This record gives sequence, C-alpha cells and structure tokens, in this order.
Amino acid sequence: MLSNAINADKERIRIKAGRGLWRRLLISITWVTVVFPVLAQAENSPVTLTDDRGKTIELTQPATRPAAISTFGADVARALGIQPVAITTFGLEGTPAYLGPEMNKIPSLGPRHQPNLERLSRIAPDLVFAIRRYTEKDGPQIEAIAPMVALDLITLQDSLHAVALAGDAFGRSQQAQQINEQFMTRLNSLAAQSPGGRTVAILTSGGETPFVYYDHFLTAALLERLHFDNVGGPPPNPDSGIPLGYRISLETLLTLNPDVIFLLPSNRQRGFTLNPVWPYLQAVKNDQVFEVGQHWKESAGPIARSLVLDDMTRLLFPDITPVKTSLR
Amino acid sequence: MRQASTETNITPIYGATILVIAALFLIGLLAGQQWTTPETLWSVLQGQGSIIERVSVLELRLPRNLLAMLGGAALGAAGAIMQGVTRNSLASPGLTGVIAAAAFGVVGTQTFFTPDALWLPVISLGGGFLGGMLTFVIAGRGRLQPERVVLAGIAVTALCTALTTGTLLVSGSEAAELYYWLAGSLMGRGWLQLKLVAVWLILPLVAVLLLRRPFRVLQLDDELALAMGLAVGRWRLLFLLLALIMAAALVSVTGPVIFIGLVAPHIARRLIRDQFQHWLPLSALLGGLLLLAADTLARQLAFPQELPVGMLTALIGAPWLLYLLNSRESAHGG
Amino acid sequence: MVANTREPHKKPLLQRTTILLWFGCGLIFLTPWLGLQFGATDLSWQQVLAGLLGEGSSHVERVVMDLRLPRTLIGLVIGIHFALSGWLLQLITRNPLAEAGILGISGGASLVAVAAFVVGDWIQSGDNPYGGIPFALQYLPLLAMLGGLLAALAVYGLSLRNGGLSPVKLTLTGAVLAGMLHALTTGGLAFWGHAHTELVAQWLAGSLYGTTWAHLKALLPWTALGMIGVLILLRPLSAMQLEDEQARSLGLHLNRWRAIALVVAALMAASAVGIVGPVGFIGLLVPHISRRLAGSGLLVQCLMCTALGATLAVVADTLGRTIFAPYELPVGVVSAALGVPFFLYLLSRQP
Repeated sequence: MLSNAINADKERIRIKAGRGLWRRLLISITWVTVVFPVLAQAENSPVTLTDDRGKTIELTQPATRPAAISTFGADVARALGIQPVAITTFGLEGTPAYLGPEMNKIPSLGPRHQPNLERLSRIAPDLVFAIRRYTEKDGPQIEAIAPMVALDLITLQDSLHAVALAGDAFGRSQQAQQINEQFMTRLNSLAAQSPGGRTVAILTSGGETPFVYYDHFLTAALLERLHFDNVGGPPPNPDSGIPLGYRISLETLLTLNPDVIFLLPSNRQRGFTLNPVWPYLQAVKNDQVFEVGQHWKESAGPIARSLVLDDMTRLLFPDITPVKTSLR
Repeated sequence: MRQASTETNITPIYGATILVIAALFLIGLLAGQQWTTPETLWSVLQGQGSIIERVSVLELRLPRNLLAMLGGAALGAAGAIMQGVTRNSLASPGLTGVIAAAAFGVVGTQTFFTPDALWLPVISLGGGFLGGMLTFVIAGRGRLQPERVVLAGIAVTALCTALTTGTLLVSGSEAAELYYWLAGSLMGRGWLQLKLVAVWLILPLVAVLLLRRPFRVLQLDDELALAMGLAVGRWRLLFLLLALIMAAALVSVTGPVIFIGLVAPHIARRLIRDQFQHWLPLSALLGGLLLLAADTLARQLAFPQELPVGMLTALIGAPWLLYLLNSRESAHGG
Repeated sequence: MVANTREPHKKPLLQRTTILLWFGCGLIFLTPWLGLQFGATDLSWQQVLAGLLGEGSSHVERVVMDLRLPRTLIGLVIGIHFALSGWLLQLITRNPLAEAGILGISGGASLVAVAAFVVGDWIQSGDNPYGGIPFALQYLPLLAMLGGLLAALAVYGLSLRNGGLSPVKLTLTGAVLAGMLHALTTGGLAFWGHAHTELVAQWLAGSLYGTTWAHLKALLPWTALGMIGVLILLRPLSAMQLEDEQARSLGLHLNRWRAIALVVAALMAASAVGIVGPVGFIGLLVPHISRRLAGSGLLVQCLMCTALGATLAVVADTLGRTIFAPYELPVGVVSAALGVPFFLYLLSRQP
C-alpha cells in the first residue's frame, strides 16, 4: 500500500519536473525531509484526538485504514502516504479528478450527506474523517461502526488544524506539521511577491443567481492573504463559520464590480452568465473570469489547497511565475 | 338598476389599477442596492449617467419589471380562464397540475441533461402540457366537471412534487441550487429570459383578450352556450390550452409561482361584480400588479439578500384564501 | 364514490375473507425478510439468520440488527400509518384521491419541521452552528405532529364554517392549504436553509435512511393509539358511508365523528412524517387496492390496508436502497414511481 503511494509520489515529481528550478528543489527537499523520516518512524502508541465538536477520540494505535466522508479525508490521507479504504463521491461526477485516477478504484460510500452505513460496516475502517455539517445527524450511527472525527473544514485555521489532527491520527504528526509549515511558508512568500490590490469574487451555482463566499471561506481567505480583496465581505457569524456565503444579485455584484471572478464547477450551463448584465462586469470585459476545479470547493486538504495556490499564482500574477499548468 | 351604477364604476377601477402598476413600476426601477434618484433615472433614460446606474436600471430592473408584469398578467389571465371554463372558483394553474408538472420537466431535464437555456420554455411547456392534459383527461372525457378537474389536478400535482423531490436528491451537489429555483424567483432574470418567453406570454394573452365573447358565453350553462351556437368542448379546450401555455412558459424562467392565478381573478370578480366582460382584462392587470408588488417586496424585505417570490405570493394569497373560504358565495363559484 | 362500493362478489363471503386474511398475514411476515435479506452489502440467508440469532460476525450482526432490522420495522410501521390515515381520509371526505399529503397534513408537518431547523439555528446562534441540528432533530417528531394536527384542524375549521361539513369542501380547503404550505416550506428552505439544505431536503423526500431503534420506540405508542382509534371508529364509519341524511337519522353526530376520524388520521400521518418525512403515494394507493380486494367490509378493508401498506413501504425502501447502491432513493420517491402506473389505471377506471 505504502509503495503504491510512493510510486504515485514519484509520478507526481516526474510531472512537476518541467516546472521551475525552485519548485524542483522544494520538492526534493520535501522528499528528503518528510518522506524518509516517516518511513523510519513506526509508532504503535495509542493516539488521542480532539475533533472540531470538542469530542475526544482514543485510538489504540495510529489509523491505517481511514474512510473519508468528504474529499478532505482522501486528500490528507494521500498527502500523508496512506491509501483510504472508502470515500464518498458526488453522484455522476464521481471523485474529484485532482486526486488522481486511482481514487476511482476505491470503494464508494455514496453521497457525503448520506454515507452508506452497510458498506461502511463491511469495509470496517479504523477511522472515519467526516465533514461536520453533513454528519451531525447520523454521527452516532457512524460511530457505532468506527471512530469518527468530525471536522469543520471551512477556514484556513480549520484546514491547518485538520491536517495536524490527521497527522496525529496516522502517527505522522511531524510530516503533517511540515506540510502545514511549508504551506504557510509558501503562502507568506507568495504574499510578499503578490501584486495584490485587485478585488475578487468566488462564485458558485448553476442557477440564475450566483452564490458568493464570505472572507473566511478558505479560498477567499487565501486570496485575502495574497492582498486581494474578496467582495463577499466579512461573515456575519465569524465564530461559527456558517453561512459560508450568500446569494448575490447581479445588481449588487455590478456595484461591487470585482476585477477578477472565479467560477466554481457546475454541471449545468450557469444561468447568471447569460444575464445581460454579465458582459458589463469589469472582470468579464477584461477577460478575467476563470473556471476553477472542484478542489476550490473543498480546499482544506493539503493537495487541494496547494493546487489552489498554484491556480492563484498562475491566474493572478502570471508575470512572476511562468508556470502555466496545474495538476488537476 | 344596479347594473347601470356599477357600469360607470368600472373605468375608475381600471384607472386605479393602472396607476398602482405605474407607481410600482417606477419604484421597481428606482429600488436597489442604492436607490436611484428620479433625476438620475431621467438622465439614464436619456442615455446618460454612470455605467453602473445605466446597467442597473436598463439591463436589470427594467426587464425584470417587465417580466413580472407580463408574467403576472399571464398568470392572472390563465387563472381567470381556468376558473371561468371549469366553473370552479379554486381552479388555477397551481391547482390543475400545470405548474408542478412544468417545474418537474425543467428540474428533470436540468438534472440529467445540460439543455441550452433556449429550450427551457419548450421543455416547461411540454411538462405543463402533459400535466394539464393528464389532469383533464383524468377529470373526464368530453364533459369537464369542475370538481373532478380540481381533484385530478391535486393528484397530478402531488405526483409531480414527489418526482421533483426525488430528482433533486439525485442531482447531488446542485440540490441547493434547484431548491432555490423551485421556490420561484425573478432574481437575475433579464432581457434574455424576457425574450425567451415573451412570445409565449404575449400571443396567448392577446388572443384570450380578443376572444372575450366566447369566453363569456362559456361561463353560462352548457345548454345555453350550445343554444347560442358555441362548440363548447372545442372552445374550452382552446382556452385551457392558451392558459396552459402562458403558465408553463412563465414557470420555465421564474420557477413555480403559485396563487397569483388563484387570487387575481377572485379580486377582479369582486371588483367588477356582474360585468363579466371585464373579468379577463382586469384579472390580467391585477395579476401583473400582484407579481410586480411581490417581486418589489421580495427584493427589499431581506436586503441584501432576496426572498423567493413564490413564498411571498403564497403569503399574499393566504389571507385572501381564508377570506374566500369563509364567504359562502365564492365557495360555490361563479 | 366510496359510498357506492357495492359488494361485487357476494358469493362465499366468509371464504373470501379468510383467504384475504391469510394472504395479509403472509405478507406481513414475509416482507420483513425482504428488507433483511437485501441491501448494499450481500449477505446469504444463513448469515442473516445468524445475525438475527446473535451468532454472526460483528459486521453481520451490525448490518442485520442495527441497520436493516430497525429500518425494516419502521418501514412496516410507517406503511401502516400512511395507509390507515389515507383510508380514513378517503372515507370521511368521500374522495378517492384524499390522503395526508393532499389534505395539507403532511404539508403542515413539513413546514413546522423546516421552521424547527431555522428556529434551532436562531436559538443556538453563536459559537456552535450545529447546536440547532440536535435541537431540531430531537423535537422533530413532536413538532411535525403538532404541525400536522394544526393543519388538520385548520382544514376542518375552515371547511366547517357556514353550517355543514361537506366532503368536497373539506378536500378543496385541504388542497389549497397544502399548496400554500408547500410553497412556504420550499421558500423557507431555499432562503434560510443555508448549509442544511441537503439534510432537510433528504427528510422532505421521505427517507428511511439512518433510522434507528430509538425512532421505532418513538413511533410505536402512536401506532397503538392510532390502531385503537381506528377500531373504535369502525362502527361510526360504516354508518357514515350512508348518505348524510340517512346517517343523521340513525342518530349519529356526523360532524363529531368526522372530526375524530380526521384527528386520528392526522395523528397517524403526522407522527410518521415526523420520523421519515412526507411519503405520499402509500396513503393514496393502498386504500384503493384494499377496497377492491376486500369489498365493502370495513374491518377487512382496514386489515388489508395494514398488510398492504406495510408491504408497499418495505418493498419500496428495499428497492430504493439496492438499485443504485451505495446511493439511495428515498422511499417516498420509489413508492411514487411504483404508484404512477397504478394510479393512472385507477383513475381511468373511475366512473
């Protein structure tokens, strides 16, 4: 299992090899500093975790067979070199493509708001990574099958905390910590290089009226860190993080007139882009509307969030980095 | 004697209705994130003003107002037709399965295919048509008995609602989107949507307004109408078909908006008393007024968000409904 | 229309009834097996048996005892609830298309339930955004029942004005109220639903997903109460089937018995809605089939309703969770889909 993951990592390195020298260096350093110590590290000590509900979960040994309700679990497991045993999928869309084709071979648990309990019981994972807002109702039933950590996964802080917690759960705390540190280092260095100053909006929906995210939502928060101004504005309940955003009328959007618009994926023709106002938006006029991948919607995982940073660098300050593609 | 006195009263009613519509229309043009002043509006209409003001007024509020007015008028007329033709005071697009079936058509197609927006009115029409036909076929071959039409319509609505809900669940991550659509809203609708449905709304509307005479005769006894040389069954079908086209076409762009078609004709009938030749036009006007009012409210009540307009029309419809059900004469229908 | 159901097969009445009763008993005992045997994971019948006897592996035991058995039993019970409630409503409104959904009872229950989520959020606003969910879920059955009862009483009160209670007026009032409640529910969910939309939408579709023994325990007292209510109502109901004047001359307080029947029907439907959400077609179809099979004897009709309602619910749920596994279709949708052809047939056969 582990060798598979290593092979996959090698593949990724080969793909990325075409990029700039600094990235290649960075990855080599990662490889040496992160993966090798982990391979040497073979802990079997009990693990105590405290999830976002404030609940304490005790594991007799680090988890090796995690199940993921939400993409985050699969993402973080892969980033830490562990193969998840079951994941939830998005109906006809399946698993997000950015996690690689091998994810499609992992047994599906059905939709994240209704994970299939019988399947979960048969697969018998030793830990379930759950997204809190979808599993609050059926939590007890999932916990009867396997220990579960329920995570908020909304803000940057949530993401860092969740990755650290996953590191603890897998007995790879150090590696997780390094992933977090590297991410923050990269974020800060990008922030230092960022031209910033422009206003941005992250829109989702396939309907007539787009839904815009507040500042605290991870991707919006990353943009803010890079000195861009998210037009969604501050959330009304910063403590809880819910709601994630609101439906914005095109009229209001026109008043805010963002310089850049990111469109999250939709399987339908987006109704609001057909509105006559759409062409009047500055971002549309200047060709600054970008369709981004599924990893922008659930971006708390280490792979997703660094892909998001890739996208942001590529799309928002192309003169600084010549990188043109991102691994999807 | 009374006839004569009410006849003179009709003109002020029309006048007042049109005045209110005009006022609402103006408010609808001015209201928004920042209220446009009348002076700015004037300069915008002359092709001046900042781009934001111009776009807000001309591209967003104007087509939306027009759509609300036209759509409301279509619903009002459709309701009057259904109530008149089936002689049931509770018949309306919402209660004959047309709206629910049209909505199911749109939701189903959007979930399983990616249709071009251009086709939505047609799909909706197909759905509404099937729903309406199902209702009327079930209700009775040949003679359309009022009660059976409504009973069958209720059953068809229940069926379509169940199927729509099921489809929503399959659509997964887009479920929330479709729910918003199902609540009915005019948010974000512009010239494009107006253009898509204008033909489907205006042509039938004009047609039924021109065909007021046969419509009036249809409300009489079947025997009487036959005696007056009217092919009752055929005319009924024609009228129902026109009503159906209007209701279904509107649903394709706004989502289901019920109760306008129920309430507008009732208010109209109260106002006109026994001058039935005015029922249809006044129903249309009042329908336009109601939807325009509901939409303006929906835009302002929960600012900066918008309420689904379908919810507001239901809330406007509710008190009227209670009133209606408590008064004997209207419970038996006209 | 119901009143006119004559006894078409008068011949050996006793024998026919006996056969039907055996048939019903058979169904009641066989269908749970269906629910236990089929699911998202394959188990052999020996494994299911072992699970039931407590001798299986922990996986088998969990699937059989904690997941499938409570779910199947709740399926049985809600099937009975919806079927009997529909049967009562069709009798008192003399409308073959009446059922809890169409008369606004399910609509009232749904609206109150969605409101519970919104209010739950509002009460618990602040640090914990999820505080509202347990609040809403805990009181959902009770609140839904309250909503259903209120809707039923409103329908009754509104149609009672101006003297008598005509069955047609009852139906129309209910239908209009149901339409309004539905619009408000959808609007409320769309506007205030926020992050819970999928959760509430799943409930609104009528799903048995995630039901546990606790749900069954919450439901059973109402089942018992409802059944007793139905038994008490049997005699007045058979008198009510006569024309109003005749029944009145028999000394029956028509309106009072209608109100009681309405309350019993509302209780049964709304308590089931509170647990699994609105499930429509069972209450519409099962009474029809029962009447056709059982003839005019109300007791036999009622027993057939019980057996067939339970069967339909369990079959629909089992299909729903096996066809697209690991995805699930809610029981409300499957029963509607199963019901469509049958429904059309029934309507075309009406005089």
